[in-house]
Amino acid sequence: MINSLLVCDTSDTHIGSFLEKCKIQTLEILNSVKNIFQIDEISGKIVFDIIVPLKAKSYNNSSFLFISYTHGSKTELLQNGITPFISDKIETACLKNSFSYCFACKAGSILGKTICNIGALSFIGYNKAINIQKYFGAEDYFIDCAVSGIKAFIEGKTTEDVLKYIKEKYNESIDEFYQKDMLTSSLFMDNRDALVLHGNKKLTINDF
Amino acid sequence: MDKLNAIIVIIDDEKNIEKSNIALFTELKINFESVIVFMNQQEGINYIKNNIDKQRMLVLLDLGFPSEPTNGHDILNSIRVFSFLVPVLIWSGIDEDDETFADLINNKAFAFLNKNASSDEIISKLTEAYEYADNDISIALEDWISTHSDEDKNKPYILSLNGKELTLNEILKEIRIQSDIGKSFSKKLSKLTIDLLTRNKENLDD
Repeated sequence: MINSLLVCDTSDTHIGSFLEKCKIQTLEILNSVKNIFQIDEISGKIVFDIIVPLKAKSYNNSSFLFISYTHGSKTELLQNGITPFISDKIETACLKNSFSYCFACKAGSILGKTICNIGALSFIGYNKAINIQKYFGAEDYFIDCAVSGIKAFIEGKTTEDVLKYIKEKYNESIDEFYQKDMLTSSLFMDNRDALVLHGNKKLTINDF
Repeated sequence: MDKLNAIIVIIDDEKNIEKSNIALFTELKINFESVIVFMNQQEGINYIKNNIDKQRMLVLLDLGFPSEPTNGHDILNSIRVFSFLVPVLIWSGIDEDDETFADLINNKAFAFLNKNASSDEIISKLTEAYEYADNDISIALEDWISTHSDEDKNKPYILSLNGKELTLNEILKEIRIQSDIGKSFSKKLSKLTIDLLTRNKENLDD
């Protein structure tokens, strides 16, 4: 069994409902493979900065999957856009031995590198602000893109190919939208171009 | 030749301007959708503001308003408070050597035309301004946003994972005043065009 910590800021005022949908789809993906993933979910109003490091530490003696759908900054993952629960200064070490998959603004810029420097296996995230939409028919596409890396990873792709897969997913959405809604199409493009991979580029699910 | 789909808005305090420029007005009406003259500065500004969503406008603006406390510089300033995307051509009899241009340049005046310019010269510059606007990506974006219903324009269009929200109306405002945020949307579209071309999704031929 692969220990999997799924963190999702479902209570966030602005994007909580979107993140919740990402979480549900991620659970469907993980549960589609029987008896592989031991999933621990952290969401809602639970105090992330206490529980997340605690849970991560209980897993990090061996490789584990860390999935996070939250706000972020260059150096932090944030609950409700304010409270850091992982940062490059505190609790970074709890993510050693993790493959960290973070759908959050900017965390790929510094935090992702820091996590890998202290022993995380790989990090996939975004190094710039990322944008989503809820009201103009594109929400499902943004969700698909957000969770697509998890799907690719459990299919056995290397982290390098996972990154390519997510970018291809964004390309499909760009192509779907550019004729009817060029601005939305450009948001997919910006998200695609903010994607980064740090750490082991050849990591696969078979390494767990 | 088909008329260009734009209204020429003239703000000028000269009485009987149409009668004293018959040739020009005839040419304007042949070449453009319509011509409207405002002797009153504020009425002219209000007209532009109230019709900005409705039709392309090109403004011919006089600079000297001897009987008014404010002049063409102030009018251009007032227009630029709500939009940098309306082409404004200065049309003035004021001596160019005595005129100050810095604020006109900063406020993106499209051209300076002397009151003695020929009709052909004026039509040519207005046509140039129209074509410039037709190819301006910010104006294309403005046009596209304007096609949405008022209800849609007030919904959050972009939700950023760093907590910011923008409606289409807010985006439109930023584009019109050409703020850094507004310019960033135009840049996004330029980048998207290049992206589509490089991935062979579009080509430059029709």
